[in-house]
Amino acid sequence: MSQKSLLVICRKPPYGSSAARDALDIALSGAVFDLSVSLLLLDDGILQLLPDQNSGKIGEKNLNAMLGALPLYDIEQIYTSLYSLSLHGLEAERLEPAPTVLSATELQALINRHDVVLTV
Amino acid sequence: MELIVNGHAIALDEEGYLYDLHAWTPAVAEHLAHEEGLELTDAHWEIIYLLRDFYQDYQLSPAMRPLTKAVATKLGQDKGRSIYLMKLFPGSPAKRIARLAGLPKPDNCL
Amino acid sequence: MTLHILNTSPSDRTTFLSCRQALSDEDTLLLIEDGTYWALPLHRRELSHLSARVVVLAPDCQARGIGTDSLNEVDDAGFVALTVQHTRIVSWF
Repeated sequence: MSQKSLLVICRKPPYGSSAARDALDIALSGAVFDLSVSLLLLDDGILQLLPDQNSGKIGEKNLNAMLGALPLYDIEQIYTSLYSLSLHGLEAERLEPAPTVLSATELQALINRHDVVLTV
Repeated sequence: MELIVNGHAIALDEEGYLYDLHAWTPAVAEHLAHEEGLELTDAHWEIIYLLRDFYQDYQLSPAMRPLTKAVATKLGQDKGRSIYLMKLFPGSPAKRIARLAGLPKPDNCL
Repeated sequence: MTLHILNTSPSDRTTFLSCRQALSDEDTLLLIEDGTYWALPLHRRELSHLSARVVVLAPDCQARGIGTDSLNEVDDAGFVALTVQHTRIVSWF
């Protein structure tokens, strides 16, 4: 049986709600169950990739550090869109982990090559 | 539950994992291993410290696959196999190593 | 073929714009809950520019007093049919 592919979309920033952590947990669980998982961070979701997060100050685990573990779960790439970068005036090279930036056409292609899409 | 190590009480949760990750010392690992009937050798310690570094870097207690991948990256392919970890920590290596390393129970563990 | 479901009102432009980027020509955009306010006359023009098919959930429009004339509409059973007809579903909220 060919393995199913799962695209997890998160459009929320870290810490303000549990959405970002939930998205990560779903992605990791999917990977542990041998799904082929991709993570797409759009709009405020891209704020999860800001470096220098020191979440201990608010008594939270560092979500950005956790995203660094994705390659060990065979989730090799984090995707975002050009629009999301421009929305917050960010440059992909300054983000950690550095995301793969998609145009609108590439964004559509990414969605359409996955079996299941889950927005968190 | 608690563990008395050198006169200090170390609080454990109902599954035997440390409540306070900062309470961990090598002596705590020795005590936990002794309870499990496990003799810690250098080979064990190198894995335990690797897992503690992993948690430091990623704030995650890894399941088996990312654990073996991390071991392979840091200690070489020979050790980065589940069979190697199974021999050192029979049963459920990811859970056992996390417990001995003073970390939370692995997330997403099958 | 993807079904995109949008439930946010026009005051949340980011969600709409992000959703619009993700729409392929063969996809369907279903407006539900507060997303049905996109059917108000002022916002209709933006909908008409989309090459994807746009459908509104009739009960949600009726509940809010939004006219659906000339728009494709579905009832709850039609909503279910749409979810079955499409390969995958993407929610925008």
